[in-house]
Amino acid sequence: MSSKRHSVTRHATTGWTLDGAAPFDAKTRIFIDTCSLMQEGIGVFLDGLRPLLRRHGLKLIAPVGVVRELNRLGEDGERREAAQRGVDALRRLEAEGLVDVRGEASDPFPDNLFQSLFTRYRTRYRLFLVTEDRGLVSDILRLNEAASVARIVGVHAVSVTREGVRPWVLNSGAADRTRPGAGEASSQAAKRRREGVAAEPAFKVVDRARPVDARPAFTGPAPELGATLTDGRGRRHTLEAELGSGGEGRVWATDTGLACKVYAPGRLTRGQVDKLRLMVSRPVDHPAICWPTQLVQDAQGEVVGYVMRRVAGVPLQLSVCMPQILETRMASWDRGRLAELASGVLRAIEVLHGHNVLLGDINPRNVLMRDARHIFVVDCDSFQLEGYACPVGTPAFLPPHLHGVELRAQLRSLEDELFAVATLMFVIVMAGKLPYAHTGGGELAENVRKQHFPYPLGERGSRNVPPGVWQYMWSHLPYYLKEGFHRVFDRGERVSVAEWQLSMVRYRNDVGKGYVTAEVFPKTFKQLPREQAEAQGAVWMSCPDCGEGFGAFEPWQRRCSTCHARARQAPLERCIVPPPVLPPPMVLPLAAPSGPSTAPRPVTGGTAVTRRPVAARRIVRPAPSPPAVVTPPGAVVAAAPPPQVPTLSLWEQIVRFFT
Amino acid sequence: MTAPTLTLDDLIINHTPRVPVAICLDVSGSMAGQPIAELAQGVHTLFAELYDNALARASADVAVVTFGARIDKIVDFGPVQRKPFVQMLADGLTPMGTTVNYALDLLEARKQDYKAAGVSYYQPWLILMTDGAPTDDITAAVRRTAAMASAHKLLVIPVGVGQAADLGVLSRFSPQQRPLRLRGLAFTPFFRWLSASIERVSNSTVGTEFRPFDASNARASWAL
Repeated sequence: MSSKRHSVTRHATTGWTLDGAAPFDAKTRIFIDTCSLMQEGIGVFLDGLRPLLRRHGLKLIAPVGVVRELNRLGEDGERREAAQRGVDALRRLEAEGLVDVRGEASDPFPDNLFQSLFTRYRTRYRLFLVTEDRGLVSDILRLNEAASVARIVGVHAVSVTREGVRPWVLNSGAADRTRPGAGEASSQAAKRRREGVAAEPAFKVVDRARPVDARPAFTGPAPELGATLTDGRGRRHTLEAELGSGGEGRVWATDTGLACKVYAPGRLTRGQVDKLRLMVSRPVDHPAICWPTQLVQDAQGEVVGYVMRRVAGVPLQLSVCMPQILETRMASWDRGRLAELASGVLRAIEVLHGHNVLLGDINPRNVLMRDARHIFVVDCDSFQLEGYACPVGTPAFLPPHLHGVELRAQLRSLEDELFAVATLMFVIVMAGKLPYAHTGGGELAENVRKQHFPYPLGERGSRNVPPGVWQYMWSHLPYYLKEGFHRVFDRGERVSVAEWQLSMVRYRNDVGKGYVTAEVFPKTFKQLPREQAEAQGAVWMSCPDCGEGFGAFEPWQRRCSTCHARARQAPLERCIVPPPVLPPPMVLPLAAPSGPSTAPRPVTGGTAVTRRPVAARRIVRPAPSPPAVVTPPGAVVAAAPPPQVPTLSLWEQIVRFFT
Repeated sequence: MTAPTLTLDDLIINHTPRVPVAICLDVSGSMAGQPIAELAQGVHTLFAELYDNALARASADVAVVTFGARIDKIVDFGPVQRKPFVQMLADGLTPMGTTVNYALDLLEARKQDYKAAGVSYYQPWLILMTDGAPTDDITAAVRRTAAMASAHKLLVIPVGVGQAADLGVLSRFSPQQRPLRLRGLAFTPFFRWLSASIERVSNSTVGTEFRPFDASNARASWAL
């Protein structure tokens, strides 16, 4: 399944469909989304809808999740008024018996629900979705295209405007696209087909790296805050605030509402300028990709950087990759949203691959997110295209054979890229844990080179799984994801972007339907329900430790897997190294300072506190007994070094005193 | 001295790949007065800057060892605190060999912690800062440090303070990297640079030719 989202627009016609009529019948179901209920025109919209509902004996369907969302937004300062408008509208409809609030508290988020409902019932009912969410509309309307479903009664989406109702339409080029099979996704031909009439690939396939022109493009000082730069069209951009900085330079917000990357002096090579010129001349226009739009020059007329769209977002590195953030600021997130986020990332990657562009340095710092639906790929200047290599890489995301290779002269293959894609998918569903992190591991890059993947699959047992929630998280992942990760990290195969996309869409639906846990941090291993366990030949037992029932597949199993693992897990304690004890200093009359100015004073936080003079402190106290060495299982504790006897001559002491 | 964390909970809660850094600071008698006050200020700057950068805070794992009349681990590995309690007393000699050995043991033990917790880590760093010459036997420590540095298992950053600092001795610890001399008492710029360097390693991309201890880069801020 190709999952590129198409842009959608509100059609100029007022009405429920393109011909303006409302083709309702008894087999029609109308669903409404939160955002539409909050529109200013909701009153007008409902006034028009009421007679239609009554005529056909229908009710407007609002999922429980929508009501819940309205209530939540009602507490929020900014949108309280709009949310209240939605609540009032629903109450009136309820009084008139024209609304049906359906679902249960455990239902997934409304948009997931709409997708799964529409997918399931599109052949039986004429379905309408009232929403303002373009992404959702695009996904829903694309159900009409699915060739495998021959007799679709029709899936429609409409928008609430001030004048009433207007239908959503997919933009041209969408309907007659051909869809490549998942397996073909890597071939260039499939990519061309996928982009179809909508877009020819912006870049040619070039198999050989261009010679590196490393001469610096400018050497003068980099423009600072307040500097005005001119782009290729003569438009002037003033640097207003720094957004971030890195090894290559700094990114600024401009007064023109854009972001501007300014390289550090000497960091911008002439080769890079040529590459940027090429990129600017053939822009890849996609909301999730911050493509360079114009080169900018300083007052001396030298190219110092480029401008791009300014987006607001947090790097994945500092959001979904940090458990401490996921558990606090992102506590409302579930696995459905993680899967949705992953889908969004894959979509952007697919678009770029469709243009024969490899991202090269895929990593969680180069992808920003605003929420699960909005991700942005940044640092586009490092992309690999038309023979220009991606000069940088992130060790954990580089396939082993590229470690220690001069990247700026080396073109990467799609296989190299897919290793990084798989790693990114792994960190998104595993809260940032790297695939090769394991107990007894070594330095980060070393771990990747060793290719020791600790997580189990089927017959292949776990090997050095890191302690903590990771094994629980892994056990709850659906088989198709686990297998994908195993193929890449254990067997060294590759999984195409399209396959990942398929898995992530499926994962999102499975989470939505409750087939797999929605919890980001599950507290136990996955347990099969009784019927399933017994059907697979297990004996149903009660765990003596936690009291929960579990299916015992092996005769030796007495506890559920979680309690079993807990019982085996020894507490982890730190390696302790006792501090060395110095031999008593030789007390020399000369070494004693004479005046208060040289008296040593303990210093705390930059404020000196006067203490007793040094002579008094020369009294050697008995050394504190070293703390007991606690050895964690399997750890080697380095022995404390034997104290060294200072080899210090009288002359040295005198010299020291006078210097 | 900060209370030692005896469990690996901090590594299990925060799994961000770590940059282990052991900082050895000379607090011998000759550092008394303004130098040690500036040094303590510099250490505070380091922790404040690490703390204020989300990624650096998650990935930096810093221990501070002072050496003078005694060898003290004044800050232990573990979660970065914004303002750790730092107490330094300028007194005694310069037991550099013992201290470096101790710091290497600390790094080694911390690596064992990482292995037990399954946390990835970057090449460990050893910062050695002195204003004089060692007063104990350094041959064993030199051999160990040099071997690790040559095998890319350790990054040594040797810094001399003042004209009395023996850069010749420091260079024995660091076969790859020539030691630099601190400009005056520019401890704060040094530690600010160190914080930025740690952040950049945790952000590291290979291929950008980022050498943390880049002399020209260091000269711009704190080195002579």
